[in-house]
Amino acid sequence: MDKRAIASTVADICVNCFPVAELIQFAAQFAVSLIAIFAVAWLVGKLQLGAAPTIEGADHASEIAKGISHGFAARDVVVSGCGQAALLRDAEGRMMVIRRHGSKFVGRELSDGSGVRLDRVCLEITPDTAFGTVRLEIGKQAQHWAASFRHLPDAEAPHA
Amino acid sequence: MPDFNPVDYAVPGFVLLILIEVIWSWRKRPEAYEARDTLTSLAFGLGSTVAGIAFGGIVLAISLWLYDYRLLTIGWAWWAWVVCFVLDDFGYYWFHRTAHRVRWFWAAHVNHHSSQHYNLSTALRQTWTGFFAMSFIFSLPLILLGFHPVMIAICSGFNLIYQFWIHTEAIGRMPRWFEAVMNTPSHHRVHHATNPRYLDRNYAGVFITWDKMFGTFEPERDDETIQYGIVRQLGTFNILYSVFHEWIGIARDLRDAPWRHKPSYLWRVPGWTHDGSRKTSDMIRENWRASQLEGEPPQNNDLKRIAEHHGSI
Repeated sequence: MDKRAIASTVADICVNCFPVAELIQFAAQFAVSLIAIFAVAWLVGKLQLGAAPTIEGADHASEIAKGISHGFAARDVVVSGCGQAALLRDAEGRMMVIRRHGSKFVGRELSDGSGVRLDRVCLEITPDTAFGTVRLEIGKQAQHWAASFRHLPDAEAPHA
Repeated sequence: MPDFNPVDYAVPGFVLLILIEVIWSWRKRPEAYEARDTLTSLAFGLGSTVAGIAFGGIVLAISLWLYDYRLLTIGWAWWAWVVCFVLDDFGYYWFHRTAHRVRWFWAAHVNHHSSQHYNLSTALRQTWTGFFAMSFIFSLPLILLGFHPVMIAICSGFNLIYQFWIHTEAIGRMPRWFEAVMNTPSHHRVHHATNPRYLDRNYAGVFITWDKMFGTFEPERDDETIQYGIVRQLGTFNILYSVFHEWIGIARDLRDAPWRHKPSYLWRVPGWTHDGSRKTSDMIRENWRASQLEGEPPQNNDLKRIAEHHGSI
């Protein structure tokens, strides 16, 4: 088989397995769709939709926690100075951390203190990697709340 | 054989309606949209389209092969389209119910529910892993019955198009006769809610009648604010984690669970654990009902009792 025949065969295989025209069309459609997606998201941001909320006090934090985990009735609440996060404890000693997520709030019940770090007047809580670290600037209460983690079922003392 | 995907033609309409809803949100309800959530939802949609193109050929090939073993040959008459559409919607109801009640299928379907917002961009928040979860098997009975796979695909396309507009808070209630039979924004808001009353309810695609027939219907109440999303909210806008998080959870549970319990982490309801350490929708609803009757939040021993009842079968 001469070189021209080989090249022709290879070209035929490439065209059949990788139809160029269709791939270009698909790539163009994908690019246009991607641009449209970013344009819509940009418009939503430009119109300032979904403003970031703040936690407006202990009652507000308790309501948020109830919505996150039905049956969680907070007895003690501390809200971070900036209003972006809060730490709550119910009558049975269960603890939950809540934080702002976009224009909503998310939370996690905490089973132990392994993801908790005390930094004088701040608590840094990392329930899991995906949830991220929540920094609570709560002044002198930080030490008191850090001690609460010792009473959780799978307790490990928070590290400084 | 027709070569027609109705969804392709509907995309410009989807974009237009989203823009209209964004304007409505700006004027009436600014909290209905959030830029990163919208970006994530639309990225989901684009990725699901790519996944559909990548694996659609395989599904079609399987379907055409199975069609050779059909019981009847129903053909392309006009009435066949009507019957196919209704039966496809019936099949959708059962696929959708299974997707909420069997963790394997939930791992693909959870993506659609993972936004804490409810707007038209949420409608496009579609799974990338539907083929891997083999969700297409719910279409196979119709093929064996004798409906051509392309007819089923086109009917499914129109079914999906219908479901786009119901993902909105901009529409309150439709006329009573419409609400009685069809899936509507009101019915579907209930479906996307994490309120205990609303969990695992209203699985309908087009016709809400299936939920009424099979006991999974719950009307929306005006005195209850809906929380959207999933029971354990994602807390991240990371698209890759959002797509695969439940599959990651399954892998971890399979790794950590005792051997005799491993299969249960695939086929039992989402939230099931062999030690009762997490809550299923049924447990959350029972807990809520108990608190409604008693008029106060339940204690932890109630949760343990419910966990023991549900968790160790």
